Formats: sequence, C-alpha cells, structure tokens
Amino acid sequence: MKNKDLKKIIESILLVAEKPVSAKELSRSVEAMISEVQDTLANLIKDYEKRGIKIIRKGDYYSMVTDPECAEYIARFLNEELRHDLSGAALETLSIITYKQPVTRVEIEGIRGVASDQILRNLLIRGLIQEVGRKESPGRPILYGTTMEFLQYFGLEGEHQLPVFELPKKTDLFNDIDTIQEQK
Amino acid sequence: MLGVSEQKLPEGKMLKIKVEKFEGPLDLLLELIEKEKLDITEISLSKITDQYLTRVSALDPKVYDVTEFMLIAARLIYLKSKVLLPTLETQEEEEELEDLKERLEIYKKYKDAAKEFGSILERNQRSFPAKKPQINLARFVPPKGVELTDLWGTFQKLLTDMPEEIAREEVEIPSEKITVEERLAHLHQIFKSKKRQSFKKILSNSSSKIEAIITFLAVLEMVKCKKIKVSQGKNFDDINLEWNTK
Repeated sequence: MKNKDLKKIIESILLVAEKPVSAKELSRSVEAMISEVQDTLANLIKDYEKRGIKIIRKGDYYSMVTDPECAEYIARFLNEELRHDLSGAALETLSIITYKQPVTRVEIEGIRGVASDQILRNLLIRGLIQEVGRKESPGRPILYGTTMEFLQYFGLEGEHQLPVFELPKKTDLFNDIDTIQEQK
Repeated sequence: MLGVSEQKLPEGKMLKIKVEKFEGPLDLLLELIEKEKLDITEISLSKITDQYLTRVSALDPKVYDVTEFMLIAARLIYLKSKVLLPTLETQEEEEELEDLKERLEIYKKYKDAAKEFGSILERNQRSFPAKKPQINLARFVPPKGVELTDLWGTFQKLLTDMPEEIAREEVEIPSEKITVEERLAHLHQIFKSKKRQSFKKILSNSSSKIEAIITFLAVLEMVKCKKIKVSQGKNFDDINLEWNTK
C-alpha cells in the first residue's frame, strides 16, 4: 500500500473508532507492518499539532480527540461541566496508580496507609482507571492502570506530558513495603 | 476516606456535613510535621508524637479505621522513647524506624504529585473524543422541574418504606477488673496463710480467661522476684509453688 493512502486510511479509522485503537489493530485493518503504522501515526500526530484535533497516545493505543485548549467552548457546546470534582483522596490514589502502574489495591493502601477500596471503585466507575491484569503472586490480585479517558480528562496528549515524578533514593525499601503488605 | 460525622437535614433544609481534614494516619503525620515546618526525620517524628496522640484520641471510630492510626501511634511512641533514651537497639528496630520515615517520604511524594494533578485539572483543559464523551462523570443532574423538596419527600418515603434494620446484638467487651498488682497482693496473702500452694488451685479461682492470665502473670512476677520457688514432678503435672523463706 502506498504511504500516502496509509496516512489517509489510518486517519479515517481513528475518526470513526468508538474506542482507542492500537497500532496492532490498525496494522491488521490496513494490512501493513506495525512499524509502518507507528511511523504514520507519529507523522499524523505532527500534522495535527496546530489543529483543533489531536491524536493522543497511551502506550500502544491511539485516540482522536479535540484540542484541550478548546475545552471551554466544547463543554459549552455539549452542555458539559468542566470543573473537576475529584477529592484529595481520589487525586492521591490516582497519582499512585499513574506513577506505579500496574499496581494492586494492597500496594496502593500500603502507600496511603488507609483503606482505598471505595476510592478505587469510584475511579473505575468514572473510567479514569481500569483493570489491566492480575499480579502473579498469591491470591492473584487485580492490577490497576490509568486509561485513555484519564489522559482526556487531564487534557494531556500522552503520558510524556505528566509531571516528572521521582521517588526518594532508597527505593529498595519501597519494594519491601510491597512485600510486607502482600504477606499480610 | 472523607469522614462524614454529621449529616442531617434540619428545618432550614441545609445539608450540614462536617468533613475531617485528613485521610489517614500518614496524612495526619504529614500535616503535623508541615505545620511545625519540620523535615521528615526521626527527631521531628518524635517531636510530634504527643500532638499525634491527641488528635487520634479525638477521632470518631465510626468514621475512621482506628487500627491503622494505632499502629502508627505505637511506632511513634517507640521512636520517641528511643530518642529520649538512646540506649541499645537492635538492627530490626532500627529498620522499623527507618521504615516509617521512608513510608512518609514516599507518601509525601505521591501527595505532592496529587497536588500537581489538581492544578492540571484546574486549567479546565479536557479533550473530547470524536464520538460521544466516554468519561462517565457519575454526576447527578435532577430533571427540570424537580425541586429539593421533591427529592427530600421521595427520600423520606424511601426511608419509611425500607424494611427495618435488624437490630444488632450488643456485645459487651469486659473491661479488666483486676490488675497484676492487685493479684500480686492477693497472692502474698495466700502464701502468708500457707507456704505451699498448688498452681492449679490458684488458677481455678479465676472467673474469666483474662483473670487467669493475670494470675499467671502475677505468679511469673513472683518467680522473677525470687519470692517463690516452682517445681513440677513431670510434664503437665500440677506446679507446686513454695514461698521462699530466705
């Protein structure tokens, strides 16, 4: 397939896709190599830099969305409330999931020092986080990660736009907490 | 978790909600340390121990899981005692103290990140997907024409229609009625009347499990102070207690 057509096709698929699309899915639909699809996507993202539409990326998944800077007008048009109403506890839990994903509930609670099941449920219902698998440890606990909607909610084009996060130097102890919590 | 300790709808139909300021024991510790403008060190942790205990004792156990707070309280008290009396300490204890400090540091990092998340959201810059927005806002918007009074009336009706709550059986947790000291004094009396005693017999006078344990502790204390001698014929035999005349 010609490179030029590939760009058009991928662009149109992103427009009609109900859910975020992975490069893998795209490569199957357009019958092209994944690497070729990824290059085209990178190209598209660049094309949209100065437009009202953006292609955002989370891991291998891509989604076509509106420019976050236009949010105010779009919200007015859609009759949506822009103001966020996430509690401090919800933001705290979300920050742990964002920087530690995939992460289990016990690991989150180990860091927060307080039960967090309600908050997790709330974040799940809102679609800001999702189950991303099971940890291969006793009890096979659910692993959580953030979603594409999370990026949309925060108006980010990719995880590279998240604030830089660094843990204190002695991170080995951090792992100890995890093991202690899991043994419980 | 946010604590809602008061929630009622008085005549003025105002919803009154009292929300506690902190989320959990680590959050409380961090708040106290920051209020005193201290860094996270063992010394500063020991300094705020008293304040922490005051705040925890005022907690509403209906709202908070108090055990988590107690766990941290125990560590703080230990830490304070260590700072006051820097004597021998084991490697294990040392690690445990480090652990609390590190946990607090890690927690602070995530909390700071959460603050940044908050300010990102304050920018009100969301992006919307081409199709219908997929973010489930889970926000309640009453239909037009529905007033607060309607909602309140419906809620009241719901409450009256609800099956009555099954009354939970009240369980009384017995308080410790006797102390080891009291039992010690009592045992002294017993030994005064008769120099030899049977451990089984002394124990059989206990009215509860706790009392039996306290009796046992008192006997151990007397052995430690060399007030009595203990002997046993063979395993699981009765233990003979003999007053030490020396």
